[in-house]
Amino acid sequence: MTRVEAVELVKRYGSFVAVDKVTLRAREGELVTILGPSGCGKSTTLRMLAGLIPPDWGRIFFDERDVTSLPPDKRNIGFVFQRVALFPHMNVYKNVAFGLEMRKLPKRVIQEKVKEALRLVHMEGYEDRMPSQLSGGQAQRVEIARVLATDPEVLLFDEPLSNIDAKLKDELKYEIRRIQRETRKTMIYVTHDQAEAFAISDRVYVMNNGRIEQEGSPLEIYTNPRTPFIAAFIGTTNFIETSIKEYDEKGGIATLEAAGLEIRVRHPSILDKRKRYFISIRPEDIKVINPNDQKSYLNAFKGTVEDTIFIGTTVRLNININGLVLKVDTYGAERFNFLDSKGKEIVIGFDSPTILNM
Amino acid sequence: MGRRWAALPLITPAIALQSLFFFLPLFMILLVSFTSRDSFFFSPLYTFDNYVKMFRIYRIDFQNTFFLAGMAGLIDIIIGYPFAYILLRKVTRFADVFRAILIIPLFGELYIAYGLLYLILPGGPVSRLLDALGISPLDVLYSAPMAIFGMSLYTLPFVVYNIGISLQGIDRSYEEAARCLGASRLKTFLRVTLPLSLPGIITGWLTSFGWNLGTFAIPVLLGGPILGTRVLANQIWTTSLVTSDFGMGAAIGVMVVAITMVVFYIVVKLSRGVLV
Amino acid sequence: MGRSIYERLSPILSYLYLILVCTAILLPLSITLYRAIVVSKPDGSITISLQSYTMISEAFWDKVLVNISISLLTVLIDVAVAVPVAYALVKYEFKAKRLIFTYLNGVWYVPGISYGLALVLSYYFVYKFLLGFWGFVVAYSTGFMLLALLTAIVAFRNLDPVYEEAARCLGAGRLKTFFKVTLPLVGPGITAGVVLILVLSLNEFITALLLSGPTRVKTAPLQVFSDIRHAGIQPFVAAEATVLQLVSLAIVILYLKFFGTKYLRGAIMI
Ligand SMILES: Nc1ncnc2c1ncn2[C@@H]1O[C@H](COP(=O)(O)OP(=O)(O)OP(=O)(O)O)[C@@H](O)[C@H]1O
Ligand SMILES: [Mg+2]
Repeated sequence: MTRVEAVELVKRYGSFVAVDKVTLRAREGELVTILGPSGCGKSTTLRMLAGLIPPDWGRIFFDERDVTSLPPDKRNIGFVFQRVALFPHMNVYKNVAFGLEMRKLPKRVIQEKVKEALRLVHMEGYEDRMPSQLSGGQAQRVEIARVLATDPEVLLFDEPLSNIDAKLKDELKYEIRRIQRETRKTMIYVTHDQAEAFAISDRVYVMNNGRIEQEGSPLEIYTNPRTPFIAAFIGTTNFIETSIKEYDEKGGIATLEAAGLEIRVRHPSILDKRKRYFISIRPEDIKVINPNDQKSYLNAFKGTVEDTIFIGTTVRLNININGLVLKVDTYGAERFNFLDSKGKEIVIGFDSPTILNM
Repeated sequence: MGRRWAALPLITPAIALQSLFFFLPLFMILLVSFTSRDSFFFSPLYTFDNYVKMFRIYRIDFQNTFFLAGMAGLIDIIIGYPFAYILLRKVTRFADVFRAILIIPLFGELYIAYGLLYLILPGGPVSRLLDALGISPLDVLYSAPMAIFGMSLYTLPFVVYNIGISLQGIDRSYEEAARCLGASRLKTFLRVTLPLSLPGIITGWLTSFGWNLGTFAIPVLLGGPILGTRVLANQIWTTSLVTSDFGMGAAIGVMVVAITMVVFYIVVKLSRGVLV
Repeated sequence: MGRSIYERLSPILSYLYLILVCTAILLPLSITLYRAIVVSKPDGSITISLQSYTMISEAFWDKVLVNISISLLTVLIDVAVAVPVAYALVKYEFKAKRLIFTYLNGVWYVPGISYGLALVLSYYFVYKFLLGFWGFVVAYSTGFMLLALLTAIVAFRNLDPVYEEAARCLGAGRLKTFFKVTLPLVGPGITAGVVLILVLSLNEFITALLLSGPTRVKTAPLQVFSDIRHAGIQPFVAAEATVLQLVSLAIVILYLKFFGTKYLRGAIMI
């Protein structure tokens, strides 16, 4: 098991900064994801970790070893690509054996290891197939087997599931998690899919515009996004721009104002009275409540249903409160009651929203 | 319904042009190749003789042509592979200048032959150097290597093109995967890049070979009086238009076409990227 | 930081290699040019002079003009014939598409020497009226049409159909759309074919050699060839040899200056 540490990695293309002082860490046996929108620099970061491209600045350590200037073949890594990269001129066996041959292992050992790797990904019996005769999911499994066969110190996965259909993707992501657990290898996994990242990772780095914006467990990032970008990128949310109305530095409850509404927030940190803040409330955190229950919620407002949208597991209501429109999700059997509630008056309630610097 | 035939007027002129002035002449040369000497012009005397005699009388010419064209193709691969590889993978600045320079050999074999001729001829720039080394310029000039060099310059662009197309078809992640699996640069090239670009190498060689089967000026001017006149292109010209043995000239001509067709058929089969 | 020797040396070696090969490619032309314009005096000094060009005979310049007229007519015919087919092959669906393309491709697989002889035979027997200037025009048009076809196909392929669809929706008819929208957009691509045909037909040698006998027309490259054989390495021969090469070079450079290599890639360039 190996610890991976990247310190202030920078990569420029011309004057464009693709990766801007990225620092990240993966502990022994940890599965860390880099999550971010397309073009934010995830692949570039991962390729620097692999040694496929040299960083302009910064250092990379595997345990105590500085590997910054080592070429990929000297790093003992396993890299899985966005697009399947099985060698088209070699069959499955030859593909999986490739890395082992490079390590000059005896033939018998190679045979054993190939077999074991294919078993791990449930692809025994496919040794003689050519890559063109495999389905997308099978090919990706073989690719993972090829990487595992060489017993790499670190696994680097670059959106390995982005070209696979939704159903198989769901299956394979747990498979990858299982394999990582079984082999107990340190793994850095890149994806733009929040559900995928949350389902498998121990820790998540959220990346945007070449920078790491937040680091934490999936739960922390979902419930406590640190920037407006993350709040918007992860799931759906209501953003409200507010100013401070009442605020006690000793802590407790602050009152913020937007569109004439007073919204109460439990504030964890010191706020600056002259500044304006975003607050974010997720649609699933807002409930349609009985008008008599208003007292049991930190915030409760009366509004009109402007629109109803049937999504499937939820019915989303757009509720107009004094001109401020909030998205509210309703669940369970009662959601069907709201389908024709357009124009009706209802009361909604929610607990303390997240407060974000602008 | 109307749409189905709408293409017809657009296609007809081209088909007509090719039928009248390419396929019909081709049929004529085939016909003439089965007649004796210039009898076709008076009362055609049909015979197989030309094909029977051809390989006896002109065996040397076939050998010479195949040897020169084959070697030129080989040289082209050796020079052209790194050229295409570097042009596509290693450089960005001035790449278009190098691309543009590759058009120059298309100006024709005559100019290549003449330029090289002057380079080596007594009194030319290199001859003094050769003199100093004690080599006679004429030994260098009228020799197979010189003709091969000229031919390989002539067809280099086609080889670079063919290899380049197949290199472009190789996904870079194959090579990166090999590096990550522990293969050195050299191993990656030998085990992944080279095998995957093999079709380009083969089509490149065949294309070069096919073009050089018909070269005339290079062997005549650089190959010297013995080697240079005993190639197929020269034989076709002299037998038909100089000594008026149209039957034999046509037969050799048909033979060259047949060989080229087989060669290019393989090229097309191997390179999947046909345009339509 | 941390760059290996390989990474530092590889760009230098790469450029060195390209330059070396390009030097070899440029060698014949530059030697010929050197011979044509550099005069070494008996006292060992060297001067540049265009004197050798004045020694070129009147007859040669006539042949250059003949050559240029043949090339221009060839280009006209080829564009007029090939652009419609290319359009049909790309835009229409019909069964015999592949077959027609292969049929039109045929000429590419026949070496000039055999094609020349075949043409001579057909001119003697069928097309007697072509024994002359027009024999060359027809031969070159047929021989080089494929270049116009290939570049035009690439051009039509690369054209996003939305522009034409937009024009149709805005009320332009099929013909109007073609001339007002399609043609201007594919123009540069078609010009690539024009340049290739110009350059190749200006310098075509082997077919011309065979045709020149029966047609009694001699083109400039043929004159160069016979002068090389008779006058050897006289400076005026070198001067003759450079004339059409420089014209071709000028055409290519001019084209590249306007359109770059974009439209030639995939046709003859990587
Ligand atoms: N070789 C290159 N030259 C110039 N710009 C590049 C190069 N490689 C990447 N970039 C730019 O760097 C940025 C980051 O690219 P990167 O491939 O890391 O994105 P990504 O986060 O992996 O996106 P995706 O999810 O689409 O794969 C992009 O804006 C891209 O255009
Ligand atoms: Mg990426």
